[in-house]
Amino acid sequence: MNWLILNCAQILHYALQHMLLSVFPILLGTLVAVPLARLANGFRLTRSSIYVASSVLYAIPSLPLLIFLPALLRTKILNPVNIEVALTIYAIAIMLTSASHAFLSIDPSVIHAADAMGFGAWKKFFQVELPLAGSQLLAGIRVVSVSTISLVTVGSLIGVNSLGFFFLEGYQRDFPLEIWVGIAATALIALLFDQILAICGRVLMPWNHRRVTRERSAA
Amino acid sequence: MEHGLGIAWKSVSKTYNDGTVAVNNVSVTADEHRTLALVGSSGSGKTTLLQMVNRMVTPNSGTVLIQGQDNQGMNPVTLRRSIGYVLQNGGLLPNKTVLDNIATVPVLQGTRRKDARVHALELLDEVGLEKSIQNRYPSELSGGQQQRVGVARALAANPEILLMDEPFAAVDPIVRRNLQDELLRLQSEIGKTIVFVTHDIDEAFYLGDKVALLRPGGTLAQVGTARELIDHPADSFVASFINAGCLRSELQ
Ligand SMILES: Nc1ncnc2c1ncn2[C@@H]1O[C@H](COP(=O)(O)OP(=O)(O)OP(=O)(O)O)[C@@H](O)[C@H]1O
Ligand SMILES: [Mg+2]
Repeated sequence: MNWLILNCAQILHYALQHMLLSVFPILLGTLVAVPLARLANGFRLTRSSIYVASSVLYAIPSLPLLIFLPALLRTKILNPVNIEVALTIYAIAIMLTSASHAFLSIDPSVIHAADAMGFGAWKKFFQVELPLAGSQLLAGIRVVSVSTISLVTVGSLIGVNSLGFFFLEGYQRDFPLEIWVGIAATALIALLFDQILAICGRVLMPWNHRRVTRERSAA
Repeated sequence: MEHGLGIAWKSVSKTYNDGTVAVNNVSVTADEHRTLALVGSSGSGKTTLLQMVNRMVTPNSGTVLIQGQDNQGMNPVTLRRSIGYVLQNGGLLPNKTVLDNIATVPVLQGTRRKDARVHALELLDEVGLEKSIQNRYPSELSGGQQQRVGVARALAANPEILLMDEPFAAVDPIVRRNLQDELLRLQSEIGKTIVFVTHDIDEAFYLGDKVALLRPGGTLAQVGTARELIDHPADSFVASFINAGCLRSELQ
C-alpha cells in the first residue's frame, strides 16, 4: 500500500502517457482502414485480398517489428514514433476486416434508394454508407481500442514508457504489487476508452437507440 | 401529344445478366401532365420499365426519350434529382428522420436545410400525415406511413415527372382509396407527368388517364384508356386480366 501512495504521481504520469500513446494509433488506424476497406470492397479481387492482408499484418510479431522499424523509418530506437507506427499497423489489420464486413452488411435496397434519389458517390459515402455501417464500424473500433491499449505496454521493452513500465520494473524487482497495479490501471484505461466510444456511438447514431425497432414492413 | 413530350419508351428491351428477360420490345408513351398506369402481374417488368426512366436500369436495346431527348445523354445524378421516385419498398434512409428523408433531394440540389425542412413539414400535411411524426426514424413508422413519407419525398423537389412504384401497396383498402383520391386531387392541381405502377387493374383504371397492360415475359399486351381496354380488349389475356379485377371488385 505504501508503494502505491509513494508512487501515485508516477502512476498518473504513466497512465497519461499510456493514453496519449494509445489515442493516435486508434484514430489513425481507423482513418486509414475504413476508406481502404470501402475502396477494396468495390472490386472482387481486392475485397478477397482484405482478409489475407489483415492476417498477414496481424501475424507480424511485435518485438522484431519494433526492432526493425527504426532502420526502416530511419528513426532513433527510443523514438515513440516506432511504437506508434507498429500499433497503427496492428490497428489497421484489425479494422480492415471489420470495416469491410461493416460496409457489406448495409441493406442493398437502401443503397439502391440512395442512388435513385441522386446521391453522388461522395455524398452517398458520408451520408448513407458511413452512418449505416456505423454500429459495426464502432464495434471494430472498440476492439482496436482495447487491443491497442494492451499492446502499448510492449513499448516499455524498447524504452517508450507507459503503464508497461510497471510490468517491467515489477518483474525485475520481483514485486508483484507493482505488476498488478500496472494491469489494473491498463484495464481501467481500456474500460474508459470503451465507454467513451460507446457514448460517441449513442450520440452520433441516434436511430439505433430509439424505442423498439419495428420490423420494416415488406411491400 | 404524340410528338414526344412526356416520356416515350421506344422499343426497349432488358435482359438481366442471369438471362431473365424482364422487358421485351416495349413501346409506350406517358403523355405530359397525364398519368400512365403500368399494370401487370408480378414479374412482368413494371419496375424495370419504370427504372429505365431515371437510368437505374439501362435497356439492352431501344431508347427512352424524356421531353423528346434521349435520357442516355443525360447526367444520371442530375436526372435522378429532377425526377420524383416513390420506391416499391418505400426506400427511406433509416439514418434520417422523417423530415430529413423528405428534404433529401432539395438538400442534394443545394437548398438550405432549414428551408427544405420547412417545406418538408408542409408536405407531411399534404400526404395526410401528422406533424408529430416529423422527428421519428423510418423504423418507428408503420408500412403505410413509410409509403406516404416516400410520396412526400418524391414531391419535395417539385419534379415534372413522378415515378410511383406500387406506392399504396402496404395499406388497407379504405386508406388506399383515400390515398388514391388524394393523388387524383393533387394531380388535378399540380399536373405532373406520372407513371404509376400497380398490379391492381382497378387501381390502374381509377388513376390512369391511360393504362398500359404488361404480359408475363415483359411484352406489352395493350395500351389505351380504361374504356378502350374494357370495350375492346386486344386478346383473351387482356380480357381475363380485366375480368379478374372486376370479379374482385364485385366481391368486395
Ligand atoms: N437485378 C435483377 N437481376 C436479375 N433479374 C431481375 C432483376 N430485377 C428484376 N429481375 C427479374 O426481372 C423480371 C421483371 O422484374 P420487375 O421487378 O421489373 O417486375 P415487376 O413487374 O415490377 O414485379 P412486381 O410486381 O413483383 O414488383 C422478374 O422476373 C425479376 O425476377
Ligand atoms: Mg416491381
